[in-house]
Order: sequence, then C-alpha cells, then structure tokens
Amino acid sequence: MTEELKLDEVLDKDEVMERVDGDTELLMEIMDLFISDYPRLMLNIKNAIAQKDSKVLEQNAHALKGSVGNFSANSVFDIALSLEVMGRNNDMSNVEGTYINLEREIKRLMLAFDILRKEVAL
Amino acid sequence: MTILIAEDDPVTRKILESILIKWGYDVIVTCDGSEAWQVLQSENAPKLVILDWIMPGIDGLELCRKIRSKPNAQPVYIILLTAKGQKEDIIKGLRNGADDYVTKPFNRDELGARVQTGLRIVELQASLAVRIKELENALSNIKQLQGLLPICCYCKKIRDDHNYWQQVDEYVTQHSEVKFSHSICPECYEKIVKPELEKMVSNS
Repeated sequence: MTEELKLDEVLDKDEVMERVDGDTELLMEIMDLFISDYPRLMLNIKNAIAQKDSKVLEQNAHALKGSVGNFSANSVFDIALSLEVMGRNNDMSNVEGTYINLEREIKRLMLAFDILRKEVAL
Repeated sequence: MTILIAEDDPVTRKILESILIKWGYDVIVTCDGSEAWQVLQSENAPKLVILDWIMPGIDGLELCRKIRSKPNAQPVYIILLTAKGQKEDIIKGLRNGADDYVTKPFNRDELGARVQTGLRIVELQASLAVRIKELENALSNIKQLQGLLPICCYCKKIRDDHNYWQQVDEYVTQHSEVKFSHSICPECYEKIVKPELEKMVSNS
C-alpha cells in the first residue's frame, strides 16, 4: 500500500514546507508532535461518539482539525471538520461512519509522513 | 521585542514559536489561557500576544475580555488565531478586544505582516506614552503657578502659602523653571531712572 500512496493525495508538501520556512528539522519535529498527540484526540472523539457527547466531540474534532491543518492534509481536515459540525449541531446520525473514514485517512496520513520523512532526508 | 503565544495544539505552538524566533523575536510560550494570563500579570509583560481562540480553561475570547478590563493596564496588542471560515468568530473576537486575527492553518507571510503591523502599533503607543509623561511633567510644573495668588496692590509682592510676602520674581523662580534677567523698561527709565540721573547731575 505504501507504494500505491501518492503524497500529494494526502497532503500538500509545498504548502507545509512553506509553513515551516523550508526547515526540515522543524518539519520532523512537528510530525513527531502530531504522532504523539493525535491518539489522545482520536480516543476522545471515539469516546464522545460512544457516549453521544456532542460537546466533547466538537471540541476534540476541532482540535484535531486545527493540528492537522498545519500539514495541509485536506482529507483528514475535512472529515474532522464534518465531525466538528456534527458535534456543534448535535447531529449524531452519521458520526460512526465518519469516524471510520477518519481512522482510514489518519492511517494514510501516517504513511504520507513516512514518505515525507524519506523525501526530506534525501 | 517579546511575543506571548497561547496555543493548546502542540503542532501549531511549535511552528509559531520556531518561526517567531527565526524572525528575531523573543517568545514566551503558554499552553492555555490561564497560563498566558499569569504571564501578563508580570512586570514588563509582553505587549504583543497571539492567542488561540479555543483553549481549555480560559479561552482566547475570555482572555481578550480580561486583558481589556484590567484597570490601568499597559496596552497589549492581541492577535487572535481562529479557524478558517468562521467569520462570526472573527467579529466576536474583534468586538471583545482583539486587535487583529490570523486564520488557521496560517500562512507564514501573512502572520509575519500582521505581527509587524502589531509591533508598529505597540511602538507607537510606547512613544506616545513617553510624550504623555513629558507633557504631564510639564503640566504639573505649570500647575504650581495656577490658582489664586494674593498680591500687594502697591508693591506687587506676593504672599506665599507660609504667609510670607516675597518679590514676584523670587516667587516665580521658586515655583517654575523661569529665570529672570533684570533690566529697565523705557517707561520706568523715563519715570524713575532719568529723574534720578538728573538729580545726580544737578547735585554735582
């Protein structure tokens, strides 16, 4: 699957590099920060869905969206945004399916991080 | 120039910190509103703050309100970080005391330009504060010469607060920055000096 994944399908490398001012060390550091922080947000989102807590869902989906936005990772960003909106509107009808999409896209993002790491290490 | 950051997301916080340091600013990093509020209580607190809107504890909006309602506070320039597309948040933020906003994920050049705008205002306010201080000092000197002064109708001596009658020039010198150089006006010359001189000539 790693071979199949194209980096630009998951994130906008140029935009990310511009954001970190071409600083690859900073890029590595923020990827590590994201990797250590996102499981907490995912767990909070999962629990919020199980407990039908729309407020906690909104807060954590918002936090994930804000964090992932720094990588210009549009698919994760868009899914997090829809979960945030569902939380805000207290509309829990589609949350489970959306969460599954989120998990899938986060996995793809992690693969994209691996590719990005290799590319900038060159 | 020191900039205070309040941002709960570690990724955004790291990028902000690194970029601002690279641009030559000193940076104080905080993870929530309460921590940022603590920093703002200190003497020589940063004059420019970048606040995330949504944070645990005191959020950016509440922090804006707290900063603005602090009596006798030094002016602080507030840039609010908001999520893209939430226009109502931007309006709410500005109405609650933010000076400017940057939408997340932010563009580096836009952030730089807005920080520079903020610093221009901060420096302007600082130089205005210095001028106001100077003017206040000048005004307090002038005030010493204000009010009701008892003056003798005949000799024009002034009575001071200690019930002491003194010459106008002495009094003014003591109560202001004014120094007198003594000379004789044409009228007094005609009326006093000339007759004196004539008397001296006729006497001799």
